[in-house]
Amino acid sequence: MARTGGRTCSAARLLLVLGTLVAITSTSRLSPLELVTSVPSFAYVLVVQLAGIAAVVRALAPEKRVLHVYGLYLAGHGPWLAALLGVCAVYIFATDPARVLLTTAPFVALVTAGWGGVLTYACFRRVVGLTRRRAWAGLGLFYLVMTTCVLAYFVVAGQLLPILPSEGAP
Amino acid sequence: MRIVGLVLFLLGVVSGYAYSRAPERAVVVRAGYRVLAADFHVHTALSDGGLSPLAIAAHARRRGLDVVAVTEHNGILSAAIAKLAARFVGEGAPLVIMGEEITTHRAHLIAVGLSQGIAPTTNPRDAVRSVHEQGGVVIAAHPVKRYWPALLPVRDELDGAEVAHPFANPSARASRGGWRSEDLAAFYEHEGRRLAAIGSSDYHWGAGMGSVRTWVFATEASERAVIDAIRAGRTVVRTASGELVGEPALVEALEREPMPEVGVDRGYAGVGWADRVFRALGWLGVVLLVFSRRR
Repeated sequence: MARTGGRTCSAARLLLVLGTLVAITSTSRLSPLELVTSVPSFAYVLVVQLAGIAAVVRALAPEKRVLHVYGLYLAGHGPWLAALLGVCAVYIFATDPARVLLTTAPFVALVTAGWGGVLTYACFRRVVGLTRRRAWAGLGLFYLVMTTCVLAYFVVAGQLLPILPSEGAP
Repeated sequence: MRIVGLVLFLLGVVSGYAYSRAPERAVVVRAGYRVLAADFHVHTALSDGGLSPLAIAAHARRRGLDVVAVTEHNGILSAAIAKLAARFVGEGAPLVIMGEEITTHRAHLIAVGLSQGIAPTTNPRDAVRSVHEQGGVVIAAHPVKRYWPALLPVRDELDGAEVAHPFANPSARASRGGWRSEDLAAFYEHEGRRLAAIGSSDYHWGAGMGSVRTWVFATEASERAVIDAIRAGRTVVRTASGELVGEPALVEALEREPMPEVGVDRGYAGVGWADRVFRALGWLGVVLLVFSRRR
């Protein structure tokens, strides 16, 4: 069972790592201001993930509790946490972080996204109890909802549509 | 293990605070003007940046900037928050000016000195008029060749042009999308008329805020004086090739008495062994906090 405490811990872990990433990439240290102020800025990540999980549970397993599934989903963030802390390590230990990241980032991002996808699929299979086909559908729905949420923000903020070439624009 | 992680983390935070203090800054006067270090192109986490608007002013002070314009894509909310947060930075807080990067597929324009947002429009002339009505100035953002068709017709109405940008370099491909520094220079000085030379970091992530900057020759350290200086072309920029570009008399003044250069600490180097050790311990503390299991 994902306890409330476990869920909160997992969420706090993610925000701690995001704060660490912002602080270290911008100042190369754990400067407290960057660390603390990035928490509200990146809290949307949790909200977007919750929306994705809620959509999957409501659509495919309405008998399950959304927060319970969400707590167990959060527990599978290990690959992302490791990758982001790896980026921090590059900024601390490498003499030329940009060069290291340019050469390794695509590979690391691919592996991390794949690994994260596998864990999310496993969460839908084992925790939500979906069949293989429905778990694949759930995975698709999950990423669709998350992507839509982010794009919707940029549309509402007026930042997306103006950069798309429109038909008949002068 | 968690206790060890927590102790190391706190050690990292305390040393992070101690070693990230802002440098002492002196008032610099050249050619009879107060010289202000400015970055007029900065994004935040409310769009595609990394830093919260709450941290912009403090970070800018740490980077030795006197002026920072927060220029989010098609909006001024983060600029308003950053300006408000600057009040709490204390002594030596940089001047935060509200701005916007008016972003469309045809061109990007930096508006500085706004009180209201400017709606993104594919007609740059409308955008320029709206900014000027508010008393602000308009700067061509990274005017690479593909933006010229939209920007050239209104070039004489612009106040400045980015002539130095971190992405622009001489070896970029000459194709339409290439970020060639020659194209930025050619737009800045086109058919014998110069705009105010602007160097901006186009800051999104990392340590690079102010890595490319503009020296503004202002009558005083106020928003109005900075905007007036841009309008009058009283700016100087150091390009990627190391050349000073801008109003000739002011360039000469900076060649006689150069401004202190600001390096970018992208890690590793640190400011001594203690800094390097404590930042590594702080990182290790986070790793332990994140990955150690509760008993």
